[in-house]
Amino acid sequence: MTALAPPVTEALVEAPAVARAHTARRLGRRRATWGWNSLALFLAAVFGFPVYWMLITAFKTGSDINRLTPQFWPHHPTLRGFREVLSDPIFRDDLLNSLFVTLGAVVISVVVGFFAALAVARFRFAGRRVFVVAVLIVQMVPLLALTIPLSLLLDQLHLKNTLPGVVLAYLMFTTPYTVWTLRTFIAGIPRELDEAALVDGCTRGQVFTKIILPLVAPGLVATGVYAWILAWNEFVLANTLLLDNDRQTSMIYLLVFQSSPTHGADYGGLMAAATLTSLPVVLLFLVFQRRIATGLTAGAVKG
Amino acid sequence: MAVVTSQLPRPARPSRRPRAGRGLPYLLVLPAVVVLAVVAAWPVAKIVTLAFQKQEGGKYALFHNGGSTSFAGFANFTNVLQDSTFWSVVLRTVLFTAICVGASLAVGLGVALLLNRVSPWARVVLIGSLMFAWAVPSTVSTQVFYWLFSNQYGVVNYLLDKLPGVSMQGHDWFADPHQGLSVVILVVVWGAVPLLAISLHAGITQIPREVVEAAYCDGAAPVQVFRHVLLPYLRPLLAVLTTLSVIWDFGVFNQIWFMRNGHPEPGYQTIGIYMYANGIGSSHYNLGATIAILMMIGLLTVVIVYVRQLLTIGDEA
Amino acid sequence: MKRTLAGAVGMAATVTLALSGCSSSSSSSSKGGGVLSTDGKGKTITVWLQSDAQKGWPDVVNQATARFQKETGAKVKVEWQQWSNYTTKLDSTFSGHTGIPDVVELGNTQTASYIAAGAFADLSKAKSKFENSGSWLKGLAESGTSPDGKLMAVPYYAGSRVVIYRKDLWDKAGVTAVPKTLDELYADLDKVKAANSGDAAFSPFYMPGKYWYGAMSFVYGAGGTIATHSGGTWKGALESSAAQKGLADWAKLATQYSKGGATKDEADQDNVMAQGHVAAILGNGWELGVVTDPKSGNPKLAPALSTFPMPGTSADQYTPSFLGGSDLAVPDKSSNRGLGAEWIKIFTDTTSQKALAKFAIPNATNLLPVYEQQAQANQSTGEAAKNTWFVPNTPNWANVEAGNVLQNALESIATGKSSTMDAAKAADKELDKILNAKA
Repeated sequence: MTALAPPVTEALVEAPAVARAHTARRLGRRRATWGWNSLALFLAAVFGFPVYWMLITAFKTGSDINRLTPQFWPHHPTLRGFREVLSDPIFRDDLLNSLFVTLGAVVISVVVGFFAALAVARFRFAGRRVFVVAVLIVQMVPLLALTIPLSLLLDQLHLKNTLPGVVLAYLMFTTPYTVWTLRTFIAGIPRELDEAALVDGCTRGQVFTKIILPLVAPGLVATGVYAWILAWNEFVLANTLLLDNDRQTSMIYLLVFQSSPTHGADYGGLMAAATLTSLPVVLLFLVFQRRIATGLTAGAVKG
Repeated sequence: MAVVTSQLPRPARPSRRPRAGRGLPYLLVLPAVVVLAVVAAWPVAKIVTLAFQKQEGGKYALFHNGGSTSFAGFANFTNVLQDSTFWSVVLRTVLFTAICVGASLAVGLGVALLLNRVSPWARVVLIGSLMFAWAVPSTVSTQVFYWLFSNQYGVVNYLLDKLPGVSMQGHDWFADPHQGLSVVILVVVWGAVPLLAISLHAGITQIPREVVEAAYCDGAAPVQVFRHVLLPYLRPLLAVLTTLSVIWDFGVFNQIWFMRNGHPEPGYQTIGIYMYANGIGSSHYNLGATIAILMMIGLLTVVIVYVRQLLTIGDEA
Repeated sequence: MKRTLAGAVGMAATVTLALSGCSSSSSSSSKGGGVLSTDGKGKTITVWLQSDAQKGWPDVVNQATARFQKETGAKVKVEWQQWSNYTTKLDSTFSGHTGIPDVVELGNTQTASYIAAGAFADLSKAKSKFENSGSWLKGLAESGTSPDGKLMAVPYYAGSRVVIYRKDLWDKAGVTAVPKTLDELYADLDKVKAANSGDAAFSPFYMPGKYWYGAMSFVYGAGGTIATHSGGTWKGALESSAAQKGLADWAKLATQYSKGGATKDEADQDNVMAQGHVAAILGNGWELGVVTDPKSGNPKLAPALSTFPMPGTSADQYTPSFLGGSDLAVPDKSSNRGLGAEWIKIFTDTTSQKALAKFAIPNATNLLPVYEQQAQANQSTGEAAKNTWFVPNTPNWANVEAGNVLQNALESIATGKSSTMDAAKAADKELDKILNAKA
């Protein structure tokens, strides 16, 4: 790992010329920034539009939802969708189940992944390559092909139709992701830090907890958030493994609004439920936003 | 979050490999191994076994023998590999994945560079918008895009029709699979960009400013700075993101399935849909397993390039 | 671990009891040749019903459950299901041993493959105990019977399709009489089309391109069929002249009188009709309610809607309607088979079905008058339920549906990509392959 020391000395010598160039560029940059800001706003609008559409559909009355002339704002706003969803005890149960399952899967896979990533990134041991390739292979297995085998396995373990069983099933796709990503982060932290600490008399364990863990903490958070999204939005496995109404997850709850042979789809209700179901993820973002932004690549950049 | 290393000289060490706690790495890896052994080993082994067993059209074997039937050698594989539909599906999937990954990375990188240049308030707005987009589940976002591109009440047709000389009223985006898949690609890219943009933006902020400034001082044009300064720093990150994107976009299912309301036409079938339709969708568990294995082999060969690169990061002596 | 071991032992005990109850007339009160059981003290049975009952007729379920509890002493736990990914859930559940319900609802086009896989208990010995079993609707009864004549699933409710139309728009166009033949229908639609020629998005008859239930109705109405079965081989029959005539009849609606639905199916046709630019659709009776439901449609249209059965080629024959609906079965691996069968018996008896007739077509022809009394629309759907068609009753049919064979063929006709003959040729080839696939 090459040192991060920048070639400062030469830049210092060139200071006056640099300062002049800086000023000129800064002025130019200010003019250009207006253009960039507008572009950023435009992109924000483009990316946010489908979310906006989801939100206003949640507030539209049925006949306004898909009109020949689209309504960009609800002409007859209603809270019916939200009222129905929030007053449904099953929605609350399903939300709590989703929270349990997702939190369980994320915490376990981040912890397990962190330890494994430490081993792979910091040690050379027999079977290291095999382990990494095995993790990669597991990540590549299509989840749809695994549905029946996983359900057979959990059935034999007497974990079918239980929330811990679903947590276990989810570990199947969250753990490879956390191992893989955390390995990259940890590898990006220079070994010199480890060695400096070891020289100073730290044990390996202390190196991990006092040196590496704080540095990779933002990366842990970022990995955890993405694993959260993977687990929170998973549907097929949850639908197959959870058989009792009061044990199901929010994604299964969204199905209630689809059309069936005897009743039509309730799109307003669906979007209201979808909005409420996305809220925990959004809250997660708000809480961890700084960490996510900086932590997604802490140390992953070469240098 | 730049990591600063000390420039003071240190006592030379004979080797960088730590000798303390020889069993430590194994202990650290143990939890992951246990988890994967419990949860992944048997199901993956089951998939492999199913692929080499006789195809049974009905569910009898599943209900009474856990899916096991008699050994069939490579019959299922030859069955699938000789199906011309399979190859057109593979070709379509390769194109689809290439476009999705390319577009996602390009847009993601562009947005990341943009985030670097704008005022803080604009940055907050854009990142906020990206995070909201990221939070929506793919089934819901696909439904919304389906409405936006609907031929009868879609916003896209409505807005495009307003352009002078353009007549888009009633235009059916899904009649032609190429157009329809473009809409699907749009949803996939829309859902993928937030992670890529935010990751790459964070990566760019970690590049030492002095190196970039020095390059500008030397008279480099922005494009050259990008190619020769930014990209080398971002290469490891790009490698990880590309690998993940390829794996995920290759197996896309939800977006195509729900965009066609659960009945994707033949022209929309990528390998994920094909596997479902020929697997659990029609109770052909052996064929489904076979296609899954072929999918994985395909992915592995494509990704192996990046994997080698990733494995060498952090291994420099 | 201790809990699950005890659970396993307990389950084994109940299974033995149930089996012994089935094989001989034991001391516990069991009727119907050992299939039914009313010994339920201290037991709870699990019933899987679709959300249609939860939303449409929860009281019917409650009264059946109350009577069942009084009669057997067993409790009932109803788990509401959703149709999406349902067969995967069933497959996964039946392949294991956990959470197997004691009663399960299935669509009548889904039962064949499960019957062939031995997933259900044989209820034949108790058939006479199920009320009205002598006059069950053919389409439902067929779907619940195994190829060797055993009763595996009991008819639950049915649905038939009729024309739902905007009487106000038709009156305005000068059409006051209900058409008695297809040709009359086309003539009426021409008038409605002319009266609304200013509306570019107007559909005199909205017929989605992937609406195979609708299209095949015309095929059967013209005397054709989807596939024939002779000498143990299935052969796709869409290329026959009768089927071609039927497809042409349908194609006329889908291409000349329908706007904007060529690549869609009928799932959201009620929402489309509620927007006001559609003068008629082919739909189930309850779709009337969906069109006027404030959640999904336009309540203002309620007084303007009316129904009539789809006319056929001659004045004395309607175009047959597809008989959709659900059946109820007892999983073979259930640990309370007798009780499950007893619950089904109560839920499908005359009392329950009469209550159900307010919302859906009951399972027997002798109960149709009760149904038709409820509303004008029911008279049409009741009529339509008397002349119905059903899909080829083979386990491989599920794969035809999963492979979207008919939808793809019909879409290519509706979008003008291929002629009815070319589409039929491609579809027949697929049908031959899938229907004859060896199990």
